[in-house]
Amino acid sequence: MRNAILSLRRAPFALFCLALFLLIVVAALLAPWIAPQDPYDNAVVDFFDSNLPPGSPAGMGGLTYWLGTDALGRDLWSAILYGLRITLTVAATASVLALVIGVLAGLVSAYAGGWVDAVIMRLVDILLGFPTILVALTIMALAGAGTGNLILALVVAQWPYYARTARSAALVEIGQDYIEAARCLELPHWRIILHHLLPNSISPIMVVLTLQLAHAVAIEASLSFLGLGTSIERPSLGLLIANGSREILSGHTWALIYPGLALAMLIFTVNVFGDRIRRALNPQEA
Amino acid sequence: MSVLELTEIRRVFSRHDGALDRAMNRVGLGRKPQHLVAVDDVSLTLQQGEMLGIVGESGCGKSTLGRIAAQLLPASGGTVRWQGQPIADMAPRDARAARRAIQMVFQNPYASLNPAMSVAQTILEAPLAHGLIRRRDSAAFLAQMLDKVGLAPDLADRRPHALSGGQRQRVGIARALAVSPEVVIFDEAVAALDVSVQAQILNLLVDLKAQGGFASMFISHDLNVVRFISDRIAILYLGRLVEIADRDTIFARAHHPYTRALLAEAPQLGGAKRRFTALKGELPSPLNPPSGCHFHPRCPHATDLCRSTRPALRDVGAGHRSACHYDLPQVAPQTQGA
Repeated sequence: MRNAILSLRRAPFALFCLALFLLIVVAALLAPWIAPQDPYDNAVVDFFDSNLPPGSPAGMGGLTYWLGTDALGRDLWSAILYGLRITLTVAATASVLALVIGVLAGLVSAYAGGWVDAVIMRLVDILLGFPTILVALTIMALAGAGTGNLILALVVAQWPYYARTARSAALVEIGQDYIEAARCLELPHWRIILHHLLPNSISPIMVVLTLQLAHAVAIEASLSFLGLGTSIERPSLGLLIANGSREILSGHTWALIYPGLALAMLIFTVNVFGDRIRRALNPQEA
Repeated sequence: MSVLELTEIRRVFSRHDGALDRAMNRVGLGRKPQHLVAVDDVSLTLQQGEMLGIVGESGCGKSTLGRIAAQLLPASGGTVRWQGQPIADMAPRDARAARRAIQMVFQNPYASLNPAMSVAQTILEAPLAHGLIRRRDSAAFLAQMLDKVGLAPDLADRRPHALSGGQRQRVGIARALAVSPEVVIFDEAVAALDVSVQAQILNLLVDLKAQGGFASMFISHDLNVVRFISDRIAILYLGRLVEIADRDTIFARAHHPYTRALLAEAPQLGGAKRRFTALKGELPSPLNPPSGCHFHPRCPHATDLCRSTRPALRDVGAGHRSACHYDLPQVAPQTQGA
């Protein structure tokens, strides 16, 4: 892991992507302070300013819509910053939850072996057999729209990837004598799993985390685009894109292009960075 | 009295057949099931405080036997008794205590330490987890353990990658001793080390043994190492115990032809001329062991009886047992005991 991070110094583009990603995250976190308008506050949003092109001044004065406004009169730049916040919160929460569940399942599976391993891994195989978006769509269709359900859907769709990776990494470690020694010392099973297996299996899991984070952002956007994600009052990036796409034939292209660009940048930077770590950790490719 | 007693221990490894193999077997097309008898009816007792050497060529089942004794691997047959009581019949609580009292030191010091844990964590983990020491006494306990195995106190915060092979093996020994075991199984504990480091570790083991407190099994393929350290020596060949006696008896009056061949092959200081003819042929495949006495294809004295009948382990003198049908005359005087 340390070597992988060191090797990033020789990959300026991956470093640039990491910086850009961190910039996006910081911008999303600071949205309430740097956004010119609170897009959730109906007292501030002026419906008469709807669908204004980029650079238009606000009807009531006071600010300029540098990226234009959407169909509800919201400042698009502010809506993108707030949308990023929602998208990133959902994706990060879901990824971390999926990681915890998936890694635990994978480690237990590898450690216990036998029928426990068989049951967990067949479940994983079944889930991996369906496209991720289909699994997420099914959950959303059953549970209904909303941020909580969105996270649930992403966790269900993504934990199998962590479980598979954690299991294969742990199987390599279980063959080592230090696990045998820990068993010989009669340490409790949970202790062997958490203190011996987990720290030594974590590197490949971190790679899966970066790649799955990008994937989670994309799925969240897809679900919101299909109307199964966040609510219209508090749109995520995906919903902004969906709304923008309805305006495209009216010539209001900015409502689609700018949220789309933000999403593309987010996914692209995470992917480039994650792929670089993956290659750094794989000696055959580095 | 005996602390650990292995009775008729047997361990068979079978190829794990998949569903396809099983289905094919049913219609008579599958691969033949293969069984490897790694340990074949071995009975041993370990007395309080003694060091029992277990010697054999690679593949003779000595490590398997050690892992069964340490309860890391279940036996296919036979009983392991802890202070007279079969561990398998104990209440879970007692069985855990018994297993904890049997510790193991592994061959490869590069694989036997958790790379993510420091020396201090490695040594202190089990005694703290089992409540053998209190957390506030742990610094003193650690210092005591490091001193016991001859490690400098400033190594406590190092991780395994920053230690030499010998230092790692000392950490492995300290880890085992930290739970105050009554039996320690050294599985080829010096085989992976440089010769000079080997000698240091062996001297450490002799010192630890002199301090008393534990009985041990010392598994090795190297007769000279075992000779240096053991009180009694057991010789294994293809999963079977062929001879067992105290150290000096083995070296002075080996009974079994296999033991004699091993002794003849072991390099000696001062032996200027040496004929290298003692052991002919390769070790037979354990998947398809010879009939009768496993040693007969390589034995210069083999007869039809050896080819057909498995020799029983029989008493040939005070505590000296050997699995040979014949009492072969001592050919050449062996070198003096160590």
